Amino acid sequence: MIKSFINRLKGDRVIWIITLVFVVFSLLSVYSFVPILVKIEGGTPFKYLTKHALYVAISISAMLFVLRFQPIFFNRISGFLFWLSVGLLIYTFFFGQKVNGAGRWISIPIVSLTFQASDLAKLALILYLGKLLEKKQSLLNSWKEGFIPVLVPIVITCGLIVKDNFSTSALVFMISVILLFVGNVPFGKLFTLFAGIVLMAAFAVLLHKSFPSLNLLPRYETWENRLFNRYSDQAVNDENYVINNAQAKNAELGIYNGGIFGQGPGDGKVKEFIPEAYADFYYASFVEEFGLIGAVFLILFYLILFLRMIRISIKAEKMFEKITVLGIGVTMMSQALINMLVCTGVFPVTGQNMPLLAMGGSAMIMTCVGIGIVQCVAAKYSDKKSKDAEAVPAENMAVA
Amino acid sequence: MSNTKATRTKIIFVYVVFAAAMLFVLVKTTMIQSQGVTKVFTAEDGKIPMRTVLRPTRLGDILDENKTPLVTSVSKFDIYMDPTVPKQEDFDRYLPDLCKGLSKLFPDVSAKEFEIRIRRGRAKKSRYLLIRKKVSNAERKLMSELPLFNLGRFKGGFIDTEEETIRKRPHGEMLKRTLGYYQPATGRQKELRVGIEGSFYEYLAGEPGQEIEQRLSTGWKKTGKIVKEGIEGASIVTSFDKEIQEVAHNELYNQLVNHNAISGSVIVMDVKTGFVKAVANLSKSGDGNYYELYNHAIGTKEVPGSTFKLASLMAALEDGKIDLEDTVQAAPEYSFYGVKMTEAKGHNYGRITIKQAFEKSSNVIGKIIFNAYKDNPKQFVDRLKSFGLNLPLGLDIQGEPVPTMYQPGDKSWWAGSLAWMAVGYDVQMTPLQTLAFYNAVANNGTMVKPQFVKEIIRGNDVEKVFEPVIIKEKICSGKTLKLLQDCLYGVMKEGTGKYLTSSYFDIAGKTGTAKVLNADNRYGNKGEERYMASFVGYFPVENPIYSCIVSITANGDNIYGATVSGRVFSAIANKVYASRLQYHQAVNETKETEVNLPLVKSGYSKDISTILSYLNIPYELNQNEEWVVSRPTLSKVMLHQKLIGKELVPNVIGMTAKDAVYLMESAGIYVRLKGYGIVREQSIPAGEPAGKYTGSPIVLTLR
Repeated sequence: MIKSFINRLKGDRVIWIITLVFVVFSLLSVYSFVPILVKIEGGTPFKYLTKHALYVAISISAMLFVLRFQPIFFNRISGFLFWLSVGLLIYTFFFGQKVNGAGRWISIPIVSLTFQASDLAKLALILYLGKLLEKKQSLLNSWKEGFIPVLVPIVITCGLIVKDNFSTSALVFMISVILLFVGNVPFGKLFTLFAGIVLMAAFAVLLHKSFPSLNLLPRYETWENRLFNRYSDQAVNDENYVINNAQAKNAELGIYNGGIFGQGPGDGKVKEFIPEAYADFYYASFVEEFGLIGAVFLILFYLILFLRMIRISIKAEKMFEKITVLGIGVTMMSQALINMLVCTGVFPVTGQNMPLLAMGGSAMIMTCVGIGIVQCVAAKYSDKKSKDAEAVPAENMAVA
Repeated sequence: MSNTKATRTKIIFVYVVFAAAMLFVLVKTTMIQSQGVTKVFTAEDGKIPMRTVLRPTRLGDILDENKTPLVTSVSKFDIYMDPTVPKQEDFDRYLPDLCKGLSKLFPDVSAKEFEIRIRRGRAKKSRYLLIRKKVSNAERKLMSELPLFNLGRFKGGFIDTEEETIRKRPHGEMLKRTLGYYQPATGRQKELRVGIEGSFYEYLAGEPGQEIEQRLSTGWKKTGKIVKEGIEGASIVTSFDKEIQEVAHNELYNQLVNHNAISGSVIVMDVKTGFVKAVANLSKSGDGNYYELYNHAIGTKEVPGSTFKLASLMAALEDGKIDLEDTVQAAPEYSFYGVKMTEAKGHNYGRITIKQAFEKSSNVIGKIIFNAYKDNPKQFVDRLKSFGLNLPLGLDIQGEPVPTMYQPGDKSWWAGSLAWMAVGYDVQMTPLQTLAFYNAVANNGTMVKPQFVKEIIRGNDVEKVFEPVIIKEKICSGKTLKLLQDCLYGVMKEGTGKYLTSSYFDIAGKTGTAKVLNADNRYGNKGEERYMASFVGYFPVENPIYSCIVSITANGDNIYGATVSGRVFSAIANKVYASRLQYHQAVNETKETEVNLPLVKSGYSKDISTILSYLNIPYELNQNEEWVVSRPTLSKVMLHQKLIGKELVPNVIGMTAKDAVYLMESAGIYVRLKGYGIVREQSIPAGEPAGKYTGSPIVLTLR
């Protein structure tokens, strides 16, 4: 039955299978985390399961809905989406709910779900960049005509996010740079861009330090702590360092405890020590419960997923399609990667969760919408291929 | 399209970079798992330290015959708080309520004080702030439900993981020494095993398991890996009967207080099986009160005195030296090789039969035995040994001494030893050893080993059952036995125990009063003479069920076995008879009051304490409270704080009308009284805010 369902879906079948496996698996992880959530946050186990199931339902519906459109549709609405996301970001900037000291959330009144505007902004920016890079492809060598107009949306989005969520901002910037790189922006310009950003950052920090009363970068202390703690040897012996990095240490311990076969679903201990284990430390909890073998499969699945997207991106003929598919893939991979690198203690602690797997509402919805768009592109070319196949002899002859 | 080709290469390059990074993650994961390497960029390989720790199991309980706990383990918790974790808004919103709640639970610290402490802790960034030590599990639960604390450890800072188990005897002083304790060896001190807990500690302790602790950022933490499951501690079911024990304890206590005695002990034993039903040991301590300080019943051997005459007659009868109907000439004083032996109080019984001599506890028995065995004293000693009187009983708990019994040729043996032994001097036995001998007489000559433990249970399984152990199948001939049983009955009918005879059933027994050796092995210094009054016997005479010995040591010689110890004995016998013996059906006997304390109503503490001290009733005022509620205990009236809030409707149940009305009116509530006596019901429940009822009447029902 599932097979026939998948057969009926258009687009890349492998992507469909992996996506569904991940989404179903996310229900299992929520099940594993529910007891500790109930203990810490209160509420009933039912509450968390329904909430997550609701998100999953919304995500899948959104994904299926997106499938109805041709890629060109997204090209057309990308401008609107981008400015909508900018509007939401500005709204969040002033009225957002604060979670963990960062105002990143919009509360949607009727369904009482929270929505992270930056999740939408990421996707909108990718689409818009795709559109611009296609449009300006021949003008990219010119600063004024080509490069600056492409750069403006990146700067707006990152600028609006950076104040409350430095890591996401940096991530969005990195993704954008990758897309510019693939989108044939000359190296010289990319380098200049880097240099400019570094200078600006330095200037902002300087300003923050000189005029603390302005509170220009409210989360600066957190960033500093994380970076400082992570890379300074001196701090290692400091009591505060030990306590502040309890999360990171516990994550490593979780991975250690997992061993090859893991402790089994629901039997992990890390979640009892790390409050955010169900999102930011997903990988550690996952390895603890499913072991090294689980990790190998997890990474394998991600790489296959990305590989299929890469193939679609290569196959796509229009620059908008290439950039969009690659951007969506890179976004997912980089989030997963950062989550894993944080858990293995390579990166300082930041809040990037595991795409498709972790508990988290808007992120899952937007990831699913992104996959839907990728499938639209894939469908376009697989349809074309089958049509081409019928007309092969004639075309071949023509080429010859 | 070279542009497309370049793009393709770039896309593949992006993929390769991500794939490499993911593989790196996998490598890092493996490294962490295999070696605990945490820093991939440094050469330092710090393993996550790990250690195996013992995982103690709960100590088992010691139960009485009916599985009522006599010793049990209670968990106590040290409560800490991490005041730095709550969010500022939670902290500000809930802290006042939390402190109020804490202060309500622990009224010795005010809410204000709690608040200052916690705020200071937060300011100082203290992560481990002591809130309260040694709270019970119930209190811990209440605390965890207070505002802020109910957010848990990560959001509310509630730390309740410091657990400690302590041994608790719910019945206080009762049976303390016999139940005993275990003290493991520490440094210079050897391990100490006292009483049942000491002897059966291996069973009680079970076997600790092992679990892994790992060094996490904040110290050693149990990470949940259990290497070895522990074996739960077993519970010891003793043969004690809590009700008999209570009577024994209280009666002994009262007699000791009445006679200002030094110490005393009581043992009650089941005749057929040797299971001990009660052991009480009380000694006067420095503060003038009596406590279980030493297990005299089992561990103190003294000269038994007249109770030993039973053994002397048994020996002489078995050897055919005497007949109980033979008459002898008693005198106030006898002389053996120039050493004088006197009758108690200088009595002169004149010409009496040997049976009468025994019943009246005349020391002429010394002369009879001396005359019977003077040519062959060894025969007498050997005969006594054949009764098993020179051997310890081999108890399951430690500390039983070997009885002292000299024989010809010993350094301490002298020509007059025979006579002195016959009346219970020049021998030394513990009360339990004496009782075991009398028990054998009651049990038709079969000597059983006194035992304290009936079975050992682990969970629902019975691990070990203790069967009665027979030490000697027959200590003497049936004929001798019958004669001696008559003698013991005669003591109660015609002799020294005459006025102890219960009107409900017959007791057989023997009194004894002995001058006790002091620490320097002399019978007392001048002005410091210690006497031991004892009474040993069994009941009912026909088909005996329980045997019992009571011995009380005091200064001065105006204590006698019958009056002092006999009274305890008969009180115990009456109680057991009234409540325990099956053959007794329905006699409208008044229930023995266990406590001779008056009923004290709740009320104004100054009034109550004045009255109690005027009447010489022992009482204890726990705290300096204005209003108190009384609870009688074994020995005194305890006055506890009566919770009366100024803004709340007070609880006046148990008070007199005067106090109740005063309290209600001062809370602004107007009172209507119904009936008389003490308040039994109040129409508005206590604890309601009083403001709600200002001006409205409350009905107090008195009965």
